[in-house]
Amino acid sequence: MALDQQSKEHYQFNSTIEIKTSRSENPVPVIEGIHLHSIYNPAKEAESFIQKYEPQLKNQNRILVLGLGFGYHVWQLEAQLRRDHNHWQILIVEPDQRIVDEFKNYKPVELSNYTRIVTHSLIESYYDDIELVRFMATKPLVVAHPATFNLHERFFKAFMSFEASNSIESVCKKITDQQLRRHIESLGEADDDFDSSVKNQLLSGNLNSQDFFLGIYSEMSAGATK
Amino acid sequence: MNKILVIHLKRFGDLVSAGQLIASYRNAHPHAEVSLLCFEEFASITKLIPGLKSVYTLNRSTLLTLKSGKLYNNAFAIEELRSALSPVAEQSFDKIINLTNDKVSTYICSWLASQNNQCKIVGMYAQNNGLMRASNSWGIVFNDIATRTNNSPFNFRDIWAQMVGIEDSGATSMLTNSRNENNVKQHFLNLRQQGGHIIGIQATCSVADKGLRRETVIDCATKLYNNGDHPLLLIAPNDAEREYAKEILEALDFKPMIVESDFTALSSVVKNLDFLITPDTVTKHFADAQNVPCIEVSLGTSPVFKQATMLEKSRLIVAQDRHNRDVAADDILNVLYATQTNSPTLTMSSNVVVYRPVKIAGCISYQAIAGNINHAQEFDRHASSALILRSLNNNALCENEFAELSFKAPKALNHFNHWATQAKDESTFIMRDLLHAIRALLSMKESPRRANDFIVSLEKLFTHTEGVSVASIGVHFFRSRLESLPSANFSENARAIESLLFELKSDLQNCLNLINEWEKVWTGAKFAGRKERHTTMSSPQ
Repeated sequence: MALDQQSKEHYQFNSTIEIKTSRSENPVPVIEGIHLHSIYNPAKEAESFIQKYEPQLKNQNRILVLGLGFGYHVWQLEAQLRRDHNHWQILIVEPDQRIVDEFKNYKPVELSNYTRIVTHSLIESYYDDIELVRFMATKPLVVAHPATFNLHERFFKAFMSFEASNSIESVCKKITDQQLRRHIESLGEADDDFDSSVKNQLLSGNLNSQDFFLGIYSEMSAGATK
Repeated sequence: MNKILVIHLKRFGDLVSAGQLIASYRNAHPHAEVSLLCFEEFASITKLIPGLKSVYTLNRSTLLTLKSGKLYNNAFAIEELRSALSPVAEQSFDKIINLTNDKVSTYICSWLASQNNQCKIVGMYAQNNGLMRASNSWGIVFNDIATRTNNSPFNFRDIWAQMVGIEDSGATSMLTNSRNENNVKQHFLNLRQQGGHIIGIQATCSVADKGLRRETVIDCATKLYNNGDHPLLLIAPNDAEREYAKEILEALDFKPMIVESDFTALSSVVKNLDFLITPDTVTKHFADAQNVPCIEVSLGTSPVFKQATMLEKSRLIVAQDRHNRDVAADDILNVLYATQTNSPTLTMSSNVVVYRPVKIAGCISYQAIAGNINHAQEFDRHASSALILRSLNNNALCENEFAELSFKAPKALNHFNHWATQAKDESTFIMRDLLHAIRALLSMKESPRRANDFIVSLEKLFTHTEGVSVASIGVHFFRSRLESLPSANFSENARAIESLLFELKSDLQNCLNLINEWEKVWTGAKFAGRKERHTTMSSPQ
């Protein structure tokens, strides 16, 4: 399947979620026969999993977690970050809304306010989320929860290799300033490439205030300084 | 109270220079409220610039990530930029002073001004036709002359001051932290009690080809120590520089003080030095701001006269073989000791030229005082300074001061005739092309079909803007003014161009007059020299 199609595909998860109890008396979700955490001791498993990231976590306080499961690994991650940093931010991408609901229902661990769970069935929707985009722009450390990642590999691969459309229409949808949006709409057809349209406009020899602003954008994003 | 926004989108050292300009502006306009817009990655230094109302920043890194990452829609970069610039636009500044000449800053100026009709721009800005324009002729010096030559007639700081219409008031203290200040004073007091001078050596440079060679640093430190002085190695607080300092220490037979400081601490350290030896780094700019003399060694890609030290008690050493960075420690120390003792004689062993900053007509000029001097280059730079000051500030009186400064360089009198002949020849060639262009324009006015001849004649004239010399300066002004003419109909444009061509004719005549004037000064100086020698020879023993 082409990347563009994958980003527009609605990922639906219908397999039954079974909740088992580990020997350590913690709830463990099981999907398609796959245990998302250790059936013996999920907390201990999470601890040794997060230990592997210890050196990177000393220098990085923004973490993108792929897969919520029942959050034992996130809980350990928070504990590690608390040791190394005063502030941190964790963003969890979980494609299966039902897992998020079960997590909230069972409350296997309590996560801090620095952690946010994002769930959408459409990949494009993740990248419409300005908070997520700003977070991703900081180049966070990516921690993939192995069981969830393997279960939804196709989704996560599509998520990480997403390519945003930059047509005039798609850019306009996200511009909040009305005047600027109308001006951008006037630069070309809906399907025209936004950057090329801006460049053409800057060469047109007839610039207004909105063009000057787009000129700043165009030059700065090209890294252009004389 | 006027609200002023200074835009400066360059690096740390340039921001310190901008701080000096801001201080001069506040001296001239004590009630002005001055804010600054800069890149976030260099903003840490702005907390040391006194008297700023606000500092606005642009985060290039986030913008570039949002723009270049395939994951993100470009709208997010635009929204990010808008959220950074909206607080600036909300301020309704009365005046924007653009100290940068890149396209980003010119668009920012025009965008802000487009939202506030009362706002005046000083510096470069974008016109509605998309072309960049200087707000005044000093803006042309900034954008079209100083950037096209390594022999710039003025330092950027002076160009900014002239562009803004104030006088650069020289050294202006950067802020320091009182705890750092006391700490440094205490440490230095212990050294001072042992006698000798405390001399900082900037051991590293963020751009490798501009930095002093390791052997030079080691040699300087050793010789200073043997002379009873206290060399301090200045480094930034990071592992790479610590490692470098360690290597230098291993090569030394004594243990000099290594001063590892961030910008706040560096401000205090430099302020308390007796002297600084440095390549073209931010530390040099700190020395200028703190009124501490330095020996600046200009190497590699350093822009020499555009950004050199401006303190009259400092000296500039320019390496001729810039890329091998071959400057002998003995030469650096000779200059240092001669400066300390005010000694008039200097002998250089390596291929360098030594300069002394001298103030003429409110601007700093660099007088060659020793070394392997390229006299033609010196004459041309000083003549260019004189010509620009005459042309833009109507200051003809300084012409002779620049002539005298040029003739003071060792053996300069012997080389003047050759340079003067060449400069006159070049002026004559340009005059010939100019007269051709005027004829072609008049002919085109009679018959628009001859437009092509005129365009060819302009192209010929523009070939003289490939370099910068005293003869070609007028052509640079002409070209810049021509290129920023507003779009108009043919007859209006023809009238404007004709007027600009006659302005260029007058500039060329001024250039020839200046060379003639200098010839008179030269004749006088030669005659005085002969007379002096004759008097010395015939005077009784």
